[in-house]
Amino acid sequence: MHELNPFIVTITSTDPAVRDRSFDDLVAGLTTNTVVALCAELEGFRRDATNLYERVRASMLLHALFRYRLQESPDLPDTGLIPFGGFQDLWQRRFEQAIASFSAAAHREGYNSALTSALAQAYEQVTYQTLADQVRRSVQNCSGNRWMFRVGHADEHPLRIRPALLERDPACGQFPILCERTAVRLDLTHSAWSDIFFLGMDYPEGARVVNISVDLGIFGRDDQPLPPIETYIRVISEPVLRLTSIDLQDSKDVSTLQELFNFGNDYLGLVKAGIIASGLIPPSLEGTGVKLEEVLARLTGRDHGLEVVTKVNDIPKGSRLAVSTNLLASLASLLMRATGQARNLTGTLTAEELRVVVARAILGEWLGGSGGGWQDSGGIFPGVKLIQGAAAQPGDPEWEVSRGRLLPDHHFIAANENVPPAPSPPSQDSQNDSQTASHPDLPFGESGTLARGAPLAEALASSLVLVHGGMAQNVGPILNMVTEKYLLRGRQDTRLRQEALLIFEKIVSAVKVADVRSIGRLTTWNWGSPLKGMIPWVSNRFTELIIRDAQNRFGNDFWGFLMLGGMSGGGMGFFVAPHRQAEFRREIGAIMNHRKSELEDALPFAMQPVVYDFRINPHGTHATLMPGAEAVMPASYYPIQVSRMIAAGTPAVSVQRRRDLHLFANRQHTPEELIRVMRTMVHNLFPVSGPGGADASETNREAERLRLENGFDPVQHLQLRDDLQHGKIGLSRNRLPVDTEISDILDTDLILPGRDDTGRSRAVGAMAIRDGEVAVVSLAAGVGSRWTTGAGVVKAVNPFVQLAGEHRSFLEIHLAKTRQAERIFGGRIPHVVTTSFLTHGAIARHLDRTENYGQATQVYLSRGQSIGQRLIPMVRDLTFLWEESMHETLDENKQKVRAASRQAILDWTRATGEGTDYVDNVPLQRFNPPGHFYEIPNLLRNGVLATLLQEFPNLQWMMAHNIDTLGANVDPALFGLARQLGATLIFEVVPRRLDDRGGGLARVNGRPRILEGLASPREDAEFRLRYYNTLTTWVHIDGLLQAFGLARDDLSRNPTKVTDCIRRMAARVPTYVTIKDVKRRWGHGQEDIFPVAQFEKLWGDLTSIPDLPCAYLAVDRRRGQQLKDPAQLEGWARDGSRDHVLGLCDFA
Amino acid sequence: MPSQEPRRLASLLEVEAAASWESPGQIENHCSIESLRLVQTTKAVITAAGRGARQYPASDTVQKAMLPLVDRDGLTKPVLQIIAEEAIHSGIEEICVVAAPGDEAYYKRHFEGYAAALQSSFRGLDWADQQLERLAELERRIQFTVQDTPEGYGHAVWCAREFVGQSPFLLLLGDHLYISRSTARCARQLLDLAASEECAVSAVQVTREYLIHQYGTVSGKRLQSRPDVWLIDEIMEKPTPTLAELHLQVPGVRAGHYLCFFGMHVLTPAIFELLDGLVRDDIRESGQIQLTTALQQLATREKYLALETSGTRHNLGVKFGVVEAQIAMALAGVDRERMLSLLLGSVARIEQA
Repeated sequence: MHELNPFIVTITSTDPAVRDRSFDDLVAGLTTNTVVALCAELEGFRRDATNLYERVRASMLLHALFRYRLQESPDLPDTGLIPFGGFQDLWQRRFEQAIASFSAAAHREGYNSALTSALAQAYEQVTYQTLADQVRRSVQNCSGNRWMFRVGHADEHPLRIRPALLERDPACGQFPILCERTAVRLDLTHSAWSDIFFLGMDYPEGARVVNISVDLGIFGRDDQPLPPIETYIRVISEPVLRLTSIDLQDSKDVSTLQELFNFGNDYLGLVKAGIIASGLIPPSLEGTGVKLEEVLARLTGRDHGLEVVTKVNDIPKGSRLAVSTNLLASLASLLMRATGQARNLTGTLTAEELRVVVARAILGEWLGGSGGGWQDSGGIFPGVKLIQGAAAQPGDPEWEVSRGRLLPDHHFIAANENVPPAPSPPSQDSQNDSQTASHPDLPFGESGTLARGAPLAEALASSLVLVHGGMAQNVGPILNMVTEKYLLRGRQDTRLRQEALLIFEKIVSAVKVADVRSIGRLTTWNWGSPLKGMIPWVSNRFTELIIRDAQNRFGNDFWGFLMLGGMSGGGMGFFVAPHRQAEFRREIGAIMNHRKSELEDALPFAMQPVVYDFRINPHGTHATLMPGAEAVMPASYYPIQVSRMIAAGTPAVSVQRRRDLHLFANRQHTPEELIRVMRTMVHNLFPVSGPGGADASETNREAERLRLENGFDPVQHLQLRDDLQHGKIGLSRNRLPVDTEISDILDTDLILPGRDDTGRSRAVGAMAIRDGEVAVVSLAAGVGSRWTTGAGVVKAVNPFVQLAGEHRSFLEIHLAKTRQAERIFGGRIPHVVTTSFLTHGAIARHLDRTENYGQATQVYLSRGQSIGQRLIPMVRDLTFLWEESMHETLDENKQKVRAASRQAILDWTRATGEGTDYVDNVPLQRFNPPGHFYEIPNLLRNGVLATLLQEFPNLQWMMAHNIDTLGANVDPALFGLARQLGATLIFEVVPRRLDDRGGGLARVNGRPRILEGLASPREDAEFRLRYYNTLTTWVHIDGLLQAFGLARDDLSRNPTKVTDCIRRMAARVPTYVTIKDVKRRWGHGQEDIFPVAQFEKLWGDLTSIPDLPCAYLAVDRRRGQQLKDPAQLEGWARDGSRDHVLGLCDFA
Repeated sequence: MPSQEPRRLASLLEVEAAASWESPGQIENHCSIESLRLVQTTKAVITAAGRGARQYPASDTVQKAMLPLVDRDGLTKPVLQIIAEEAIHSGIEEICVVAAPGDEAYYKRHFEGYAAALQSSFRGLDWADQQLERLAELERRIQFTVQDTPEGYGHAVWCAREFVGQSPFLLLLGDHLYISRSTARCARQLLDLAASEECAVSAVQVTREYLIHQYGTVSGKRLQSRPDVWLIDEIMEKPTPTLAELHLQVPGVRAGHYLCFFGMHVLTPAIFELLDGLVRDDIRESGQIQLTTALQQLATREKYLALETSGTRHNLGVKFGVVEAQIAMALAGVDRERMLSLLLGSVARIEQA
């Protein structure tokens, strides 16, 4: 049977022409019934497959078949129910059980769009889980790593600290310090993300990068570039592990293994992961009950311990230079030397040792829950290297599992070396295929290397300008998109990947002759075509603007743009004519600052942009031993330790530590250094600054101003806070009583547009639009914290997608839809944007600066009239949220990190004061808009509706929609239908899919209404509901006024009455306690996420008011779909939703 | 310079196919055919110059080699005698003990005093007569050489070069006891293989990875004809498991286990040529002149085998090493039942208390 299934044939074929057929070609022309039958066969094949590639590609094809073919199929029922048990399996990462559960339901009831959405997600997740499992297995089974997973007791620990580190200096009595200095890596080619592990393992020939070790400095701050990563170890006379991260200003004495394996309760997770991955404390000791003291006694001798210190020279997060991975690699190098796992205590490492370090760094990333590509630890190697995937050989953990190895090969690029031959296309499959390129594996540190690299080093140094644009974004979704595209072999994607490889070859040739101008041209080509073509989300408006500005400013002297990694906006590079490089360095800083100031409320900037100094590091990671009086830590270490020592009290400070301080104090220091140390020490000991380093009293004044200007109600706040603290309100009390009867709505409760005379409705609606009966209200009071992960960016103005050649924001798209409706139907449609204290300024600024995005449509801003003070959450609410509510389980290590973080958050909550006002953040983050219930009533209160009615006397209706419901437009058929229903509020609902969580349309105690997820008495209730609320609501203005007890005249004449009526209505809907994540920024691009409690009222609860006539309109998913998470973007574009939205817009 | 390159056998097949090592042309340069043609090994070197650094300071004033233990034959003997008898009963005729300065006199005095006490206090008793006879035999066969400064194990062996001359020799440690599981003593097993293969042989034992940092560790190819014998490829002194995984994994040996030296070797005199070079050029590892360094070179120059010895090794230099060795010897000899009942009785008494 398999030989007839085109998908299985494609997977198993060795013929490139067959194997590389695109998903779109394979699925074209197949009927839905055929696809269903093929899926069943493919699932059988997937279950039996033992080869990694076959399992992964089958899983991804099944995902794509369900997501893009069946989920959207008009032949299948639009609605259906998803088995709750299967959903629980999915969230608990029991993917195979989830697939079985969903498949069984489909077998019983037939496929429908809901079930296919569930299967699509299950197959997607099982794909990535399979890959992650293989990476974990490979890393554990790399030669040199295996023993670390077999140590079960302190007595079995085979390592000892080298004697040289255990010898105290006879004169000063101090142990020596071993210091490792490590460069970071710069990817000169951007590999089209071919350094993703799976690409390397499946297509080693195509996984290739030119990777350069670079030293860094901040332009204008540092005298010269240096290896930015420094790690230190010394023996101490206390049986603890003393860990210090200088950049994160954190230090801790770890005395138990439990604490060491806790990656989430401090800022030392990376240091801990490095210590474990190096074998110093083997990972197998986790959970064994072994005492850390015993392990340290084996390592260092009784009553002794170790101190490990890290420093990354203030290089900010998101530099795209793999700082974290190279820090892990530096730690691994340092600790391997210290324990005799590397032959040399000092100097450089051998090629073989470097390879072990690479594996250990990947292991550290896996342990610590971070991620990285296989080229990321390139900073430990010297100079310029070609890193490329390698075919798996017998003895490799990947042999007979995947074509390529997890760990790549490293080769130096030498001048006059032959350009690597063209890579084979992805399909040349044979387990025994050897890699196509055969570069000489030059001995590391060979004296000739630097000489050969010198022309390139000089040429790069005189042309390339490295910058950090200030953005720090999660690249995880991008990497998943790349993997999906690779597996589905889209026609364009395959062509682009081949194009990227062609560019790569040209870059290698240019590198060999140090032709930087050509490199710049090629990297720009790479950026403009393969990278943005494959993953459009890699770019953003900020990046496009600064490139455009730089080009305009420097003309032909601008040689090119270099995309450094994952996503743009953080670390980036520019090639310029050498004679203008100095000028460019100054100018690009100004350009970036200017553009950032324009966009900082629209894009997630974490810090001010910076320009780097750099130079190629010719040595690789390098260690030195500092004996005797030289055994002193970096100056910035001491302010951290002195604060801790003072807190501990002098008697608790060991003699060794006191000697250490004396040694430091007696050294020669520059005055600047001494001042810096003293200043930091004073700041640490006697802090006066508030969040972000600002003066605390100033930020408090700013917070007070916000309260006053935005209608903060202190009396109500005190009442709610008191209720929260005493348990009268809380997360568990949001829920309706457990005996509430909740059932799915009847089809008769719902208006299905198809059943009506759509043509007549359309005509009626079109006429009403032309007559000015409708206004559009875009609800934009919230910042969209899930979209921006709490970064303080206003979602409405986030230019997230390129449409018609420009990056467009949500707001611009909504205005463009209104513009199109005006053009098609004639008449004018006023467009209202509701705002809050969080969003008003940003939205007003963007509209003003762009002149309403160039639209003639008249835009009215409706500013929120109230503000809520956020609170430190109650422990019982957090416990309820984490333990009683369903949460998606993360993979094993991330889950451990999350569990540890949660304990730390509970400790923080208790220490800070449960239920007290949340004030430890910038003022804007201390408050919240009080829920979207108020957004329409605010129109009544703030005079916007009165103005509209005055300017548009025919106005009868408002179409209110969420800012992320991109498909919602003034559809004449729906409007025509809505205005005939006789209801005041007509809610649009869509058939539920797996991602639609948080309530839906239900019969509650026999009455149709919107059931908010917060109010649902049981987790499984919403899985009995077929429809999900989009929040798009047609509001009959006079009906609404009547329900509030108001008339049109009251709006302008009687504000007190308006306020009272709104308050009375508000009292009829519940107040929910919700928990939101907020970011707190500090340091250089560092961010902490804290949960805070806030009070909200929700718009959908108006449907529970008996005397307010409501109706429910089932609409197409493309109209009702909401974009909540950037990870949805690729699917949104691929399934045609993007083009659908584009078709609704008229951009100016 | 090709002529300077060490001669290695390319593969196991070549080793096994080589009909005779005496065939001219198979052996080149450094090592003469004569040096490899091992006739009966009659000389042994016992290194006993250490002071037991691992049990310092308690061991500083006590020569481990003179600690009294009850041997398998039921007689109480100094450790050095037990080790020497291991050699003598395996066919060794002459023994050289490498001692620290001053220890030679101490050892002699101790043996003389012991013999005098036997004569005066136990005259006429069979066991005393037997023991006197053995002491006299030892006195005839043992000679001493002094290691003036403690410069490593390799240096200690090098000190015996004049005693060894151009003969192959058995090398034993002065603080290790060996108990065979077969009828042939551990040393005999080694000497037999060396004689039959006419090459250097080191005894090895499969050792768990967390212990390998204490031993020289080897990798090699197993001989098809002798599953307990390997042709040595590489030797590392006290490796970490990281290095061991990269270099010393041996097919057929369980994961996490390695072939570690047993403390017993039969070496060709070529080893002194190599040790001479280390001493002359002051080539040290961890500050000491190591035997392993010379053995690594030996493995690249001549056929060098490892034998997985059928027996157990007992290191007297580690915590409870003496106790463990005593129990093992008693259990392997005439006092087996007595020791068993002693152990069980002790455990019962201690538990009751």
